[in-house]
Amino acid sequence: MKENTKYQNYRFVGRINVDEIHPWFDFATAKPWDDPEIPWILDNKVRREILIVLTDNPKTFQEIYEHLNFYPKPLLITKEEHNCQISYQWTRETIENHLMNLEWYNLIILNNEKYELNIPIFSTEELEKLESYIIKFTENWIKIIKDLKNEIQEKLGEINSKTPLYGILIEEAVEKLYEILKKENLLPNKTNIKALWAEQLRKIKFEEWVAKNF
Amino acid sequence: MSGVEYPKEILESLEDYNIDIRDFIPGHGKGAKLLLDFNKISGVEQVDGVILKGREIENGIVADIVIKEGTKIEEPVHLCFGVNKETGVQEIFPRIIAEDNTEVIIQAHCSFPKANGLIHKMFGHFYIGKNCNFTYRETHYHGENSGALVAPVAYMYVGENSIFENNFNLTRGTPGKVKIMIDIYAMKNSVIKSNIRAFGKCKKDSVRIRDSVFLEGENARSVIKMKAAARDGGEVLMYGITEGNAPNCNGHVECNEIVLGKGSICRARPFIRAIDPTSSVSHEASLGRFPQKWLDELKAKGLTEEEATQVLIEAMLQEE
Repeated sequence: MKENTKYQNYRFVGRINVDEIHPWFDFATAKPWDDPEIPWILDNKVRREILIVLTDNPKTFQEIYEHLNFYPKPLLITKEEHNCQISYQWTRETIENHLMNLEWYNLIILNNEKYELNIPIFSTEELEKLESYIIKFTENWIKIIKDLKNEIQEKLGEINSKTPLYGILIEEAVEKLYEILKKENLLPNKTNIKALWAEQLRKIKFEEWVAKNF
Repeated sequence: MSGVEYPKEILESLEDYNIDIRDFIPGHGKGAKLLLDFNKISGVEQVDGVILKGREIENGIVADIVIKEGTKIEEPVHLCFGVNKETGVQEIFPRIIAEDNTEVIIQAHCSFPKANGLIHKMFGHFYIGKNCNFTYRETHYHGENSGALVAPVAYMYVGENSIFENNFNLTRGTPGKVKIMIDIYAMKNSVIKSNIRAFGKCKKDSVRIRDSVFLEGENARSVIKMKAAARDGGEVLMYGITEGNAPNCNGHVECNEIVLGKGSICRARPFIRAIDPTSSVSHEASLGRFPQKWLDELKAKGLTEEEATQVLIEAMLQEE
């Protein structure tokens, strides 16, 4: 379930679809133990901000540097009551380190002196376009699940009473779906497909969200 | 209570932390104050140089605390976010801004004495300017029923040449389910000290705390000290992250946890990352029981093993 946009305006989503299990894969998840679905580099707000400022268009180092500063304002106290004077600017050396880090993990690439995104970051408009297809996919799944409900209950009812079976069936079906999509050339035919993307959950800043809602 | 209607049960637990209740009550003691009972602002007291403004919302509060530029105050700013009922969802959105050249101590208390299915969520931002000395102390009390779910998230930014000390203490009462996430961003020449203390006391207690320091400015320094204990089936996870992203920055994560009684679980996950070639980041962790020698020394003074352990836990959780 997506969050209700109260806390964050972007959400990073990762998925590793593993079809070739190596001995060093984690026992519980069957995912590489050293390679989380959401990479650790996204723990850091500066690196997340760099990715977000690159959503509009590729930018030079100088342009990124100029975007990475901020002037926090109170949520309730107006300018007339008190004009807050506080600002932050991330340093050039630090931004350089973060950019190299993001490049190393292939989240951005340097092309003709400009940094550009190497992962999709969907705007709310783009997400709306995706949503109609997500709904179509889901409706078909629901139809299949409803059609098979009685049969599943009859044949797998005992297991279903111990653990929620539909969650497992969906997980396994997605894995099978990847396998078939690769054969049909609808996905690249390579092992252990990784996908990382971000979604814009809210267009306005948190401060504006608070002003609008409270 | 000087005309202020505030449930005394919310404040009583302060005594367990050796904090004078009167300091929190408007009209008594010095220092700015803000008292919240679920979503009702029960008292606000301002002092020169500090602006407190809160807005009651359906299930909590949006609050600004601004320390004006150059303000240096000895008396702490007292904040109390309490709920005096068993259930409900409280949500608070505090924003603390300490402008440049300020010195302040904030003493916050979150108290849910009757919690039995109560949820407390916080989404807080702390902005500390340049050349500041800022201390934030937060004590928690979640009652005696392990009936709270407490999930605060705080983003803290510490400006150039500033000292920031964060002290979080959840050692009284039974914590219930606690998931805390703190991200601290340290600018040039800043110094961060973050001390976390927690105690899980029964099978229904699970305390998981992620405290991250991102050293983003040259010469920024930090120490995270996480101390915890789990007793009688309680679980604690201390997750300390430090990233050295700037030239000549230096960070350290330290974690000590004591496990008592079968079925208790202590976990530590220090995660340190050095990205700048001149940065230096380290960690150390120890989990398990107290050294037998310490216990023997106390037993030689007439204490039982259980009493000796209790004394050592108290000492560890109060240690600076």
